[in-house]
Amino acid sequence: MKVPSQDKKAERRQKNGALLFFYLTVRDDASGNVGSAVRNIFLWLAILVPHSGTYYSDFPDMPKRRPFNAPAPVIAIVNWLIPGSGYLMLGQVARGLTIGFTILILFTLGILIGGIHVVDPPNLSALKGNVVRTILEKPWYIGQFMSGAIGLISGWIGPMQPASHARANDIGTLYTAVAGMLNLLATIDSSYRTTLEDPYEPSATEGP
Amino acid sequence: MIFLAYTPFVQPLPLWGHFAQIAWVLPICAALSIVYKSIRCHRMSSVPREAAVIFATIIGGMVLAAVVLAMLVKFLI
Repeated sequence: MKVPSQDKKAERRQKNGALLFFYLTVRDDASGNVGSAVRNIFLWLAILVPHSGTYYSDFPDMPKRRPFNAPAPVIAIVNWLIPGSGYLMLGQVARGLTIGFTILILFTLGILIGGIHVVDPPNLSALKGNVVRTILEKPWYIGQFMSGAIGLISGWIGPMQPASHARANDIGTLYTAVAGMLNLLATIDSSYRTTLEDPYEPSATEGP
Repeated sequence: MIFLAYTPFVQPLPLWGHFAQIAWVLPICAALSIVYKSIRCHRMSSVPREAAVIFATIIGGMVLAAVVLAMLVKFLI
């Protein structure tokens, strides 16, 4: 449900964005070649600004408005760094906290089971051949890397610690990699929700 | 005695009986169910019920597969 004052603000932003878009388009037509890179940035802003501040939480006790007006790429990067924080920026506090804590607990459990050495990044500093081949030698780190800051820090500390073996290593690696892949899922979803007029449209997010 | 030398998060967890290895499937399935349903559900209030259903489905499916495979090994092979 939209609050009337927020409706007015959204309408005003939409008008301003449309005017800016119109001005830039006309100016481009008249001069023939206006710095296209700068123009594109303004065009993006003209598209994004009208859509800001129009997203609401479905959790009754939470604020009905987005606390931060950020575009989808920013939401994606923030959510990747700190799992669940992308939803918090959208004002979806319950969803963000649930997803964030679950992913962090899963990753921490993985390190507890197998030791921190289960996060073992490929050694790119001693690269001898193909970058892709070097990364694919340790494919689990692709998943672990997706868990964000905790994955990066663990990948920095992990190789300095003693390695585990057998089942402990397998299960710990699986836990941390799955945590990262779940964070990737949440990152895609949170950034996608920023592009929706109503992020709670059943057709957009509802599923089996 | 094995716990005396154990350093959490540095060394692997020293609890490795047969049941413990199988039981570690429960937390990962629970986390997967919660995150997946938190993303998919329209309202967060429906997540606990939906996550419980998908959790039971995953565990039930794995138990069923294990029983079928065990029977295959025992009676056919």
